[in-house]
Amino acid sequence: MVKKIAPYIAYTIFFLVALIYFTPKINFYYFLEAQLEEKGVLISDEVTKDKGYALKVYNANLSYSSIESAEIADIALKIYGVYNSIYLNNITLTTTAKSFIPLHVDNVKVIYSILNPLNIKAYGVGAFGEFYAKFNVLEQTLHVELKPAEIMSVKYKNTLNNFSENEDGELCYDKNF
Amino acid sequence: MIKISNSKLIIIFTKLLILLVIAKLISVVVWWFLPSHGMELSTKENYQPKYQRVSFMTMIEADVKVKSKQKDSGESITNMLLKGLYGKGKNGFVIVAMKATSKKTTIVEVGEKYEGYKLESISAKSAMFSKNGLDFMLSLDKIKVDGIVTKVQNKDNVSYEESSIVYRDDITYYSKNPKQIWKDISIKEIKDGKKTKGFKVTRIVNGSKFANLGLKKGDLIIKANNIRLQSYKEVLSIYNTLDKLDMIQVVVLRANEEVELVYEIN
Repeated sequence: MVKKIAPYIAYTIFFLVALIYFTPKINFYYFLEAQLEEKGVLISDEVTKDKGYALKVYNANLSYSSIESAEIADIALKIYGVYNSIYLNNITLTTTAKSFIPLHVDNVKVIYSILNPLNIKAYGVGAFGEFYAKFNVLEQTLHVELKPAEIMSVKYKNTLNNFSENEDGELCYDKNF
Repeated sequence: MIKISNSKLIIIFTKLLILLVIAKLISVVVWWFLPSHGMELSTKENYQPKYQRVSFMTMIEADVKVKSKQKDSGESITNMLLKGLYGKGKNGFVIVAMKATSKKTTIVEVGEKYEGYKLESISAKSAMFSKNGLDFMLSLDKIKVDGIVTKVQNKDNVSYEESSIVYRDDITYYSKNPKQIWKDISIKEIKDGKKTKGFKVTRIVNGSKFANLGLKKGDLIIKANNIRLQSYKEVLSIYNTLDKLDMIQVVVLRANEEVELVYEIN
């Protein structure tokens, strides 16, 4: 039985891998960009490169409501359907935010997997410390946990005031959309 | 001899090739329906001139006398009148006239000569000239009009209010404590279709720094430093340059009348 099914599974996997490889990732990226633009988010001045199984985007300027908000040195998009990730590396926030948060973010990883279809997860590390975020697609809720760096409690106390401390002493932020 | 066409490998290879072709065809179809170019942030050119305010207080003819004229010299320029000045240091110009022909004024830029005197620099209420290696200071001592003209209707139907002083310390305080801003004032974006019409003051706490600046509940802020506020982008671009500004001009729509509020930043 397994012997009979095995070739079909192998062919299916081969077909999916080929499909991912041939997918016009840059054009898909343009499509996603157009969707984001409707929500006021715009990525501009970027250089895109199709790397076969991933799409790389370099030197992207992120704007929200036409306000330049951040510069991202490189982004790696891996959209496989069952496992999707966006890896943002070397982010510099606009100087407008300098009163609220340190401007440099080392990296942020956003993951959406079929194993956890209701949640989009994100992890980030930067001069502010570390964060873990979870967005529940069904309930439209955002939960953020922050491990602040020392600089946050010295220079950015007001930002930390937006977080509440949970039972484990971690700083949390919750928002319903 | 084994026939190649009967080889199992060829059959597998053919099947894989067919799968590849199907995958490629699907991707071509998908590509056909997807956009072929991305979005770019369009930056509108601002054809409106940048806001520059000239204090007419110093432009109005004044009872002017030469205050201190010489430096290691007995020479004087008592025959000259300083009628107005604009600028500071090595940038700007002054309006001067000879006492004998006081109505015939001349604009002299820093570096230019007038009646043999070279304009070297400008300070708040005086101008420094030089001649034959000697320095001469011409001062504005007394000005007939003391204060900026208030509530004057002009052709554009804009009323002008007195300028107020904003302290840099306050700006720094509010930028570090944004929550305090929203405690003192509430501002709502007002849209006209898709375009932003302005930012309406929906609440202002009496006695707060914002109230002291002349803003009132119901004011619709439409312009700042000669730039029409059509999105948060313009607001932030002004916010980002606050450190470099000495003056902010805000135009608000109050009871269907445009009112100009001017703030000096000290």
